[in-house]
Amino acid sequence: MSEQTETPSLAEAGTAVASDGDVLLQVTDLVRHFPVTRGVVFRHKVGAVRAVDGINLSVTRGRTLGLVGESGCGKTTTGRLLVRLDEPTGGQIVIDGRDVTHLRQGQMRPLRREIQMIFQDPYSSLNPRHTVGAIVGAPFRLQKVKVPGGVKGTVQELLELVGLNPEHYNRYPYEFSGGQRQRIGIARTLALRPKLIVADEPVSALDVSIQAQVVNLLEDLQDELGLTYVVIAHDLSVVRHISDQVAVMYLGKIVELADQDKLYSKPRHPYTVALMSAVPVPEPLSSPTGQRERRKRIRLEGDVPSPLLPPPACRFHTRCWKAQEICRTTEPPLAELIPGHQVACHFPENTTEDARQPA
Amino acid sequence: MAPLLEVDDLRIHFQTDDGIVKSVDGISFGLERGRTLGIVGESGSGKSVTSLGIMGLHHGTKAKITGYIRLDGEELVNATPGRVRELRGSKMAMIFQDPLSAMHPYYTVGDQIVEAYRIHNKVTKDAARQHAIDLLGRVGIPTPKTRVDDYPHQFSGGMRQRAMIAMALSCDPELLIADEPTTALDVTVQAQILDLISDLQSEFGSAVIIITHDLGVVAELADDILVMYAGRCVEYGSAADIFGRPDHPYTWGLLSSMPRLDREKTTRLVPIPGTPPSLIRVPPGCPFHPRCRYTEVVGGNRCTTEVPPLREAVTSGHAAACHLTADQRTRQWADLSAGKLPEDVKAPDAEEPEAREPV
Repeated sequence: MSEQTETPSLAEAGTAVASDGDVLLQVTDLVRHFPVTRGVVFRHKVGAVRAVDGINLSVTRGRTLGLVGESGCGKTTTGRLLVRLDEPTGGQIVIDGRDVTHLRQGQMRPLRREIQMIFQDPYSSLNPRHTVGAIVGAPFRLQKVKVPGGVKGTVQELLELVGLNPEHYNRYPYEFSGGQRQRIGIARTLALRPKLIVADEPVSALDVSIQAQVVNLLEDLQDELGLTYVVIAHDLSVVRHISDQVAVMYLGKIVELADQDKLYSKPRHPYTVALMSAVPVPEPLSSPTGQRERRKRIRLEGDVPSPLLPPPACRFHTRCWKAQEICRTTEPPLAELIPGHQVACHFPENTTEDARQPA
Repeated sequence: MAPLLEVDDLRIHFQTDDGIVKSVDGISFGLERGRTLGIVGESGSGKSVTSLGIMGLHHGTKAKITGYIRLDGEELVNATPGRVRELRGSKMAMIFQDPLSAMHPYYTVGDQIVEAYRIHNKVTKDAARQHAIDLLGRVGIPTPKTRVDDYPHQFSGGMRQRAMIAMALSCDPELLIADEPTTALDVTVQAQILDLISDLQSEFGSAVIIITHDLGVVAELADDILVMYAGRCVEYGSAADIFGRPDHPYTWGLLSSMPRLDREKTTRLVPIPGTPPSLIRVPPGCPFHPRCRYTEVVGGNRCTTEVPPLREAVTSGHAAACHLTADQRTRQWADLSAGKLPEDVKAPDAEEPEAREPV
């Protein structure tokens, strides 16, 4: 695609922070509490929904971080904080060496060229009254980026890049299927050649056969353009497929963070273990007698507790089958159990082999 | 003994301004007591329309229904709405996808169960209430005595689905249809609900139809599986057959396009190309041919002109609607399991690939 003309404010946005050149995104102690208030005249704060409660992450350039968890665990809030659609209550977000934690909207604008988001619902994320050309060309218009050769040509190149027919430039979103709409959204995301893309459930609204198309497209684009992804999803198998690193969230905290192969081959946190064993396997089990058998799995009882009043200490102890007294009194820190594998648990699983290996 | 439910050449067409939408176009199956049938397909394949048709819920719409639906020997398509109404709830019941919109927000959960129960049974209010409390306890709602007076919004997603199941089971139905019962739920809660459905089935001995797009869910629950595409049944067989040696290219596509947790991580997914067809203009010949990788293997123009009949190939009770011969199917599925697509395999008839047990 064409070179973009540099607009001035880009370099000034955000304070420069010394960081490792390879790390594109660095998140430290990120917190987002949504206040709960009572009263109309005398509004007073009665509590806070601790959506994100102190998480640490870093993503290396050109790699993919997967963020998994059940609904209400704070993964979407984290995603919105990363692209600064919401302001953190505390902590720090450093993107490409710039602290963006508390930038104002105007200061944030030039940075939006580098950080983009893919949304979950391809129906509500595209304006039904705009043509595909207008939708995909909007970033150029809003950022006042002049492209040699004109916006139209560039938009058509983008459409081709995501596997759409460039001649559909003048069509409206309703003329496309769900998968195609998601491609339009991806084309718009790519328009300004961002460095970091936060994808919030990019395929969960799509049919299985279409999901695979979009997952492959995201992977191809990453190879081709050197993109860095943060993929937020509840589907463990999709996350495994697409991610290099995976973070598992539970009630606003990261409970386990590791490389994809390590996490999936030997999950350490009981919650991760339970989550994985809950995924239905597309392979019927039958015993030799032909009788259906039930897969042995760990069943978690009950629901996720409210983030308004999360359980003290280890947040998982109310549903954990390994919970002991210490889990109710002392919060386990997210510690590196073996190199590259962080777990926040007093009694991690799959540790028998570690005893023999020096950590 | 005749099966509990017999569906014979069921067609449900909708007259619209754009033409006739053939949502269901000739579906036949039988279901015995105590068995579970899984209906799988993408959105728009007609699976939900089929279930609503069985429940007689197309009455008063523009739907044109032909064919036969027999429940316990009684014909339902031409039955009076009053008669279907008597059966609905007592002899057949349904669990809907979204329990929040399927329940009335103004009435307590208990009232809604009591209402359904009292329509079909002459009992006092107190007895019905006691029945509702028993049922809520049976489906695993803690402290049912107090929760019976809660409103749906006071329940969590998983508990609402449990309450829906309690409602459906209130009159001890012989046929239970679950339309995407776990799609709106998190994996750990999904596992709880799937367990509950199978436990209750073995307890009540009812026949269950489970409709879903998730192959994992059907593998978990179903004895038999019906794969739908564009309103038709493309493959029917036991769960072991469908997952062990599927015979239809569409089923192959579904299986190979999903990332799986129980296998080694694949480098790339194999999506089904294209998008599902419009049900107004279903492609001539085999409805799947525009997306099929195997039309060349069949050769000639049979796929584009001739509708393949649903016929048994190797095992009895396992039928697929495809022009590929039994040998070709075995070979192609073996190739696909080994990661080879027909376009990768040069001259498919020239050499016999090493026989490989399909996984």
